[in-house]
Amino acid sequence: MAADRERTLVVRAREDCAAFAELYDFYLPRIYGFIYRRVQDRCVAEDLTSMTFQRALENVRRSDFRNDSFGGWLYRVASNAVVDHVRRDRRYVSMGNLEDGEVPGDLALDAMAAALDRDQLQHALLGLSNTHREVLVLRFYDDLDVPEICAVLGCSREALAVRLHRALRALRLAVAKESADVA
Amino acid sequence: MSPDDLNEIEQLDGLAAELAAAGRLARVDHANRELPEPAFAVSLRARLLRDLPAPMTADGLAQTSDTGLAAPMPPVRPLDAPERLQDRRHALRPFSGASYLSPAAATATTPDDIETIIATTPTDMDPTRAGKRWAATAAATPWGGSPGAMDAPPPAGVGEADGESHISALKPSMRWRIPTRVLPSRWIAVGLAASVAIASLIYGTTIFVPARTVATANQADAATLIRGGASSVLSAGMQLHEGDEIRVAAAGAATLQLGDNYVRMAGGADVQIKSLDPNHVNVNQVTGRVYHRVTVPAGGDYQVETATVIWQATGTAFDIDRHVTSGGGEQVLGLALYDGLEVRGPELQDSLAEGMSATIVLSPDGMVAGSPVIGPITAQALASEWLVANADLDARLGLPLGRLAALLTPEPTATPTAEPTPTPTDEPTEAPTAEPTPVPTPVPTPVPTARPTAKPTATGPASLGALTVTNNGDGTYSFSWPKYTGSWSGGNEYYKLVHADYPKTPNFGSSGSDYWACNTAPDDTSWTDSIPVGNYNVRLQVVDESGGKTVIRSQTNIVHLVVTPPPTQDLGVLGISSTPGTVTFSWTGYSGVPFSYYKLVFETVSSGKTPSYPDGSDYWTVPSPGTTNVALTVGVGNGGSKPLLPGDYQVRIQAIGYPSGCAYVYGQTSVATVHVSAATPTPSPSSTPSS
Repeated sequence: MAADRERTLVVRAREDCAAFAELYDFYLPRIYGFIYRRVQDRCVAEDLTSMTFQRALENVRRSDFRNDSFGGWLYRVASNAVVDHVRRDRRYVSMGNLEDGEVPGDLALDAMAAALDRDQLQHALLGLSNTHREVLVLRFYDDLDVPEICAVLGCSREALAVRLHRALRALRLAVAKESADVA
Repeated sequence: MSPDDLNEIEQLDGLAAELAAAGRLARVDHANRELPEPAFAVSLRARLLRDLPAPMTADGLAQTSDTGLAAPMPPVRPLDAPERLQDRRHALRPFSGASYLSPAAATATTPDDIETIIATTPTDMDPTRAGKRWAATAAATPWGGSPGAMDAPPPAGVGEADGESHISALKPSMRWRIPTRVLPSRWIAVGLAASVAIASLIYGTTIFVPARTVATANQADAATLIRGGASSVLSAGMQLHEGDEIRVAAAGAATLQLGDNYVRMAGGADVQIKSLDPNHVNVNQVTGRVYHRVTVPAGGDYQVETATVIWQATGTAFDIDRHVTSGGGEQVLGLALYDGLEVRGPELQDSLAEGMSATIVLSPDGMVAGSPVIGPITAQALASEWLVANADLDARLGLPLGRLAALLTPEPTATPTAEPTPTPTDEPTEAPTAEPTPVPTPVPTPVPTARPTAKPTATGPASLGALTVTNNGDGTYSFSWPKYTGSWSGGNEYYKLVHADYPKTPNFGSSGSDYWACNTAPDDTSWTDSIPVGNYNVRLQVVDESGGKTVIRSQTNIVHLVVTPPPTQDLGVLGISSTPGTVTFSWTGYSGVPFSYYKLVFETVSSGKTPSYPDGSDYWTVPSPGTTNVALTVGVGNGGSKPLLPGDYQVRIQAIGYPSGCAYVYGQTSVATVHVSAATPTPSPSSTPSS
């Protein structure tokens, strides 16, 4: 959605149900997909999606709502909802594939890694730090645009560029190491 | 910039390209699962939009509205249902909604403005002092606080409330100054009784007669209305009453709307409206085929009579076909298309679940002859053009379709609108003829109009018959269909087994659905292969591309196909042999559906875990499909997540795929124990059973 159009809709949504409906229609599949990739559970994804949009509805009607990137803000709310969900869940059930310090997003990472042709690249990607993995998944799997990633990560465009570059460099080094190990 | 820098940039670009391609592939692969269920999307949308307050006119008003919602509300009285209290609250509190506020009130943001709000609120809106107190508190909440902050201390200098204790002292008085509490209940009762008496005197007793369902002819082609023994031409827009009978000529069609119910009459049908009670709509289907699309009211019913047999809808859509048989009797076929259908009559009581049909034979005196034949609706019956066209009309009306969705033909039809808007016509409609006319004669329309007809017609390709799908149990499915008997003009016609994600309609023509089989020969009537896991609608189409464009000559019905992963195949015992510094593993190859790769997974014996890749076990190597043995070098990585190091391990091979986006074990060996030493690994003599 064009940024101007989005900003206009957000302003109108304070007084116009149809404007919020248009935002909802545009972002629902995106937000749901974003969440589903991380939880791989339809019921949970629906719950978290509902929570995200409920929060959006509450906030968009506030006059102090920052209308920079509504989409990015939504992704951030969704991301936080997933983090909260996994943390909450981990208190009660054993998350087999999550180790201490790991953050959700690994299921998404697994899915992206599974689609890679090269085994070395796959292993290298899975072996990256959370910081690097997160930005790579947001950029290449979730296919978010720059303002959206900035909103999710809470960083500036410049910081994102640096972060992405560092993640790719780390991946390159990891691939080289994997190749050396195999050799 | 140095050559090394350039080289690094190129490498990073290459990595980015690989990641982007993988991400795209993964998104495409998972696209079906990552879409929200339509039901969820619709219900959440409705819930959110319902939560939205009435439209506001400006940001400031919106803000005031929020605070108005946060204002303390009158206490709930024991006899009040919450919704009634809410209604009364809005009705009696003009200050609670933003639209009642003066501009000054709408823009007030500081305590100093509160006095102004009270002063500028028109006094005739709320004569009570309690109202002013609410207004003051309501306006005070923007900076004080939280929704429903009944006990929040108001800012200093707020109207009459100068302190917390003062406000607290006022609460009881607010409670008992609600205007509706003023009148004693006995006076309310007296007032109501007086109103009833006066109204009955003025309007007569008909005002108390229950309302009737509004009934209209939405569309009528070659249809006759018989009312009070006189017949007239039925035209679109005419009001219908209880007792009216509508007959449709063999070449005609009509759609009646009885409240929220649609009665679509095929050519030759005849119905009589027996009851338009909103809670009890009753139609006597004298003859012919009629599709009933109904909304059964809560606590009410919708009934169709066919002689002594009554069909009562428990759900949403059913079809009744009543016709005379050669022996002088009649046969009635009822199809429960969407939700169930009750059928009862003399010595007859049955319930038809959705998807079931009942065939009842009536003797000439209208009694049930023999036992009804009850069974599933046949695929051919479902694929009839009549039902497909009606499902299409329902879809265009935005009505939920249930399994009727599977009937839809996506091609544009010759009848573009579902329920045409009644248009003025020059046809005489009110002048009855002297004698009832059994078969009406359509009056020519003086001026040709663009008014479309809702008559269900053949709208798409010819029906090829039923598509049969058989699960062979080994991950493969067999599809068979009747042979297309039309002409194959040569070379550019194919059978295509098209599929779409359920509940979408698969169609090769316009929507470009994917297909599993193509270029099959004219004589082919079956196809067998493995089908990826998924939830599909499938049908076979005869596609003709000879004219430079795609034409669907014929097609089968749509079959809903859910493909689940096959059971995990037991690959037997994992063979282990070793030479110094090397361990060789061998296994029986997986022989089922395509999978991604093998993983040689392991866990240390001390962990007590059973090795399994979906459960997070590490793996030493990732053999490709087709591989049945692999030799690993001790002490180094072999392409797995961990190198093969000396130790005691539980190990097995697993065939892994991603049928639904998550790792799935298609086949696996039993778990073996192996001791790996730096010099000589020692396989365990026995394996434990697969788990």
